[in-house]
Amino acid sequence: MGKEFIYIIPEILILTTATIVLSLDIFLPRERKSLLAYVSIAGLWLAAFLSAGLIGERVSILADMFVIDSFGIILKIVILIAASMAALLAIEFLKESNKYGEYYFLLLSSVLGMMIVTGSSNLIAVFLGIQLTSVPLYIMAGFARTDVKSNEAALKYFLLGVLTAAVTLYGMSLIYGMTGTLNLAEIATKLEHTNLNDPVLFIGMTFVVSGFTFKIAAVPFHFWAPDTYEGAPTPVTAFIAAVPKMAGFAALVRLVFTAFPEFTGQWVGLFGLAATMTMITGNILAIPQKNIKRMLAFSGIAHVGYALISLAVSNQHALSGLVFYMIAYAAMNLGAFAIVIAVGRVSPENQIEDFAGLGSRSPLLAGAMTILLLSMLGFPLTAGFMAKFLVFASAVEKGYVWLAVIGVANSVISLYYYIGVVRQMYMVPPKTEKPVPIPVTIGAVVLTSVVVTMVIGIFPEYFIQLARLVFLVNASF
Amino acid sequence: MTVNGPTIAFLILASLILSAAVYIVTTRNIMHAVFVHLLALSSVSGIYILLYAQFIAAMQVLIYAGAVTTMVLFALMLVKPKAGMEIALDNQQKGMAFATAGVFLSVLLVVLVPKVWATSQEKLTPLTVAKFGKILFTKYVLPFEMISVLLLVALIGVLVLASKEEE
Repeated sequence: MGKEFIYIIPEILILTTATIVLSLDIFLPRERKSLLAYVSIAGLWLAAFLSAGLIGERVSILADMFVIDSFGIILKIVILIAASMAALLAIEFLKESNKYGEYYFLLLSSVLGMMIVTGSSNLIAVFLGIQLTSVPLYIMAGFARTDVKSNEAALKYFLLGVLTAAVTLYGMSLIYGMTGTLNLAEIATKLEHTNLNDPVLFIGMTFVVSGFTFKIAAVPFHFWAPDTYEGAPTPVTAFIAAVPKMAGFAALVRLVFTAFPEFTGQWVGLFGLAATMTMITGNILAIPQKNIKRMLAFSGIAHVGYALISLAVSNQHALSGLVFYMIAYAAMNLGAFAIVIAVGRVSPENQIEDFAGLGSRSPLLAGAMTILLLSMLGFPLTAGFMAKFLVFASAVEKGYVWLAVIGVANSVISLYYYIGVVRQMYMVPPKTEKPVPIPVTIGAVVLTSVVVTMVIGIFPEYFIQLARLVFLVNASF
Repeated sequence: MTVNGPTIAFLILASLILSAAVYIVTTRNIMHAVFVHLLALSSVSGIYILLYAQFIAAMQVLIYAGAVTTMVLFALMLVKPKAGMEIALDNQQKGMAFATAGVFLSVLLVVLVPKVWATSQEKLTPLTVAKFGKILFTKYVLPFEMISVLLLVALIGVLVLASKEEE
């Protein structure tokens, strides 16, 4: 037992940081509380380094509740670094309410939940991990308490989240009834002797998968996303948009590869359909949006659609493609939302029109936004291009050319609304001449995400190597 | 299904829980809903007793029937609803909701009713507190710790959402 704790030191560190933040909050004088943000960021980075030290390990610990494998570790590192960026974005926003302690405690708890989801090999642990990820997010979405829209965002997210939690649990109980176990690997063993066409099994599986797809906002479980993204304070939106989706995908991957490997042939039906619907809905509904946060919400839904292609393919290459996609997705979205925060400080309505003339008002921000939007579009030499390329290539390789074709067609549709923002920035005269000041913290996030996006796009080999390392304990491909 | 004592007890408890649940979501009087909720929660503890989990049954009565119901009453007292306050229970999407729930229910009935579940041949032994404690701190130590963090999050969350705005 003793040695097992080495493997969960990153998780323990995050929990410790969360409690330190909470206790330090009591003793710090009012004007020094922003220090808590830097304590949290230090904890997140330290946990990322410690996780990196575990790369190469393949073990199952804590009575087979938790596994350490390169898939989990790589996602964990990305989650931790992305969360540190999101933590940086909130510093300016929190100046008003001064609730640094509460905010960073909730953020760290949510990150802890995500870390546990990435390594869970038991349905109970996955379920609790998702709850631990979500409950802080519900509260964070309602953090601007006097803002009606923020309240609406929190309430919608909460009610739909609770509903899907119930559905997930019901599905898990059906799977437990069929197999007599909650351990993902044991479920796979038990199912070898079961009739796979049993409708009970199908319903149980569909319920659990639906619960997980809610977290990543895939169609038809995406309804919360636009309202929550729009209503929540933008730093919270950036966090919700970029980080928890990795945990949702991790849960799906564990379920698909570890618990139901027998169904590999059938995933293309379920996830192929979900991917197609998600891409089309996200892209079509992004076009008429006037609010930049809603537009990015639908664009995020579309990106989930592209990434879901890899689950339809469900082989080793697709898994690497998915991990690569998650890295690129987090970088692009954190950067874009950081710019939305900067512009929103001048024009708080967050309309796309507010970006008019940004090219002259703040050339640096406009340039960064252009790069990030081109990356979301999938323009060559950016991270978005390589991510889409890897996922589509894995589909073609497996013979699902139609999925790749739908993906490319959708990328063309997305040209319309991404370029719409670029057009506003450079071709439409500004409504106001007010310059856009860039606080250091926000500038740092924009710079980091642009650099990451460009580096991944121009030198993808290293990141592809990293993604190729991805390996799952207890999985047969 | 063989008709014996436990089966009859289960059927009585299940019908109590279900009818209480239907009453809670249909009644317009929120105080009635709270007290019928108490009935539903206590009946659930009866189901635990049928499953030989006496300790969990006792905890169910103490925590849910006792503490949670009291908390709900306190919350109601604090927001001061008028005695017997009537609340709107439906909106324009009522029809849609009924249709969806109906489809959901019929699919479940069609699939689950004819299903023959594999059951364990082992004789059920009572879950003692000692056994429960041991399993909680060995096999289920990770979920156990996670729940404690989750409760702390809920506590802080309530403070964030309900505390007075500082001047």
